[in-house]
Amino acid sequence: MRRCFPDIRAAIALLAAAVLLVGPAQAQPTPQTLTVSPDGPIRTISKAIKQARPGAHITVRPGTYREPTIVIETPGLTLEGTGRPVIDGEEDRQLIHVRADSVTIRGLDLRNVGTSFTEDRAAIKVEQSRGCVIENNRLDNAFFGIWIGKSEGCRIAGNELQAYQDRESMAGNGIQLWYSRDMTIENNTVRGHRDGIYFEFVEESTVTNNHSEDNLRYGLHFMYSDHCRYENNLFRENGAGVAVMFTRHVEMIGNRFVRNWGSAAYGLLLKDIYDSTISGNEFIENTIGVYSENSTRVEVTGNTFRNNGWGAKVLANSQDNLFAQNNFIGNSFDVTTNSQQNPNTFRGNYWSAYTGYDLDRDGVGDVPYRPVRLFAYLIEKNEPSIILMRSLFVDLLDAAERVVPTITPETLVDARPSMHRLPLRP
Amino acid sequence: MMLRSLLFAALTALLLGCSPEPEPIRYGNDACSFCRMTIADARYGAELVTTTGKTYTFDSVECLAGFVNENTGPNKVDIHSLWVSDYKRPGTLINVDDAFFIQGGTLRSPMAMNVAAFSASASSPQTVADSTGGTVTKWDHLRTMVRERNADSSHTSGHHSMPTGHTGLRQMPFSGS
Repeated sequence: MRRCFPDIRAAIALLAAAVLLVGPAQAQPTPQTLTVSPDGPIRTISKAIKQARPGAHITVRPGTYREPTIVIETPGLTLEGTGRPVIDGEEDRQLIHVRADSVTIRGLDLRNVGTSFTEDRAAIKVEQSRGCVIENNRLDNAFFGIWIGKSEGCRIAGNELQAYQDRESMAGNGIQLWYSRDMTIENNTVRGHRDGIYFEFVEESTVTNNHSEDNLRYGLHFMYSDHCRYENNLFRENGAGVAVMFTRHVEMIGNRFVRNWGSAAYGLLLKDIYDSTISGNEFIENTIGVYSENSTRVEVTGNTFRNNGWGAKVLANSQDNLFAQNNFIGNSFDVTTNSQQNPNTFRGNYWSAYTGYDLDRDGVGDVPYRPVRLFAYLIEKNEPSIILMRSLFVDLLDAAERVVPTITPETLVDARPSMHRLPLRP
Repeated sequence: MMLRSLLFAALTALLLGCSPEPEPIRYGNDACSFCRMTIADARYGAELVTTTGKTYTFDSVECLAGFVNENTGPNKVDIHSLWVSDYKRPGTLINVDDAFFIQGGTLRSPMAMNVAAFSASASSPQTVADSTGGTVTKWDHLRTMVRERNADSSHTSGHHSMPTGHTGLRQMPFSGS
């Protein structure tokens, strides 16, 4: 009997759980469903939205829809395309404007938004919404792609954005977030916009597994956006890779910055950022891998800098930053700076240009490595002198400087350079 | 005589050639001399020309103002003229003296101060203010605003509150949306 007691309790608990689980599903009416198709009773999406009650599911069948901007003000609405229906803006209007919570937009082909001088026209604009979901859409030739302002807890995933904005004209951003928080941006591909992904006054948001390529300005751009993280993204052949500006507490992890090349191009531009982490990234074939201006307490660890013009350019107004356990391989210049003062620490990195030795075989070079070449310093002062790059004169200069450092920063030195390439990604 | 007129001609040519002119901004290539960003939006670009003809390019009017404000000390340049993009004709540079400025409303300039320049001969400030929902400001006032903002940004702690109730520098005047 005593034994039985807990079993009865368990049974009651199970029963209660079952009632709780099944109860709401039974109590809730089946969600209203509406179908839009070019030859059905509802022929425009706007018409379906007018009829929709909160929580309704609207299915859009294949076809091309040309209608005035679709405005969604009903909360909980799902707008789902089956078989890739097309919404065409004919180059003169915004396509979808959301002003309600928990709206989902999925599986649509959105085309031809058209440039505007006076408004940030977008394929999908979301304002003051909580919990919106925008996924698996295709955006072709949009001015702004997905524009979200003053919103919270949205998910933007698996979208493909392609624009054709040329270098001389105005251009809109691919995915733009403004005054928002707790957003997730993942698995999107963005090409041909101004900035692929742009954050302005955004907090506590993440950007993961996106491809941002061939954009006019940056692959990803943060302005005044604290406590965000971006991880495992690819930034390739943008005007410059990523810019993080006026921002605190950013985690930058496992990204690839590839071939961001040009006179003003960086893999990663840091300007006025604080207390951030850059780890496990690859900087490959960029004009400058990391450019740091006025940035403080940034930890740069476990990254690979390969075949860049400059691996890292750290201006002397950047302080208390740490470069440790990174690979610097085949860069024309590993590190450069603009002053004899160096308030930053370099420790335990692997430098392919290191020519020292390791007599005690502890894996650490016995001679400290000075990554700033005198010549790099001269170029910083006088850019045209780069013409001397491969000359014997410069090699002699560098050799002399290595023996008796006179001009390059005395303290910018890696006292424990690694003899071996660190086991990081390529 | 011949020599003298030749010399005169050469000198004239030299002088004419030396009159500093703005150069077209290469959007997507040039970097802003103040904030280091790549200049991408032809509605907002700006340029400073020195007396020796060297040009500094900017991605926004506020960066031009910031540069002029901080143009002191050993890095000082001798300013010949200041140029700003006419918002209504993207890519066209007009002299600061021929421009008026609108702040806020629907404008979204690269450095988030949301200022744009308009040609004073082509449109009236009030009309533009009405159509954009912004307010009219003058160049000198703009410089003061930028000075205050930049001083502010180097002192404020990082945490600013979000969509509602943000404060201080982060409070960009926006309306409508």
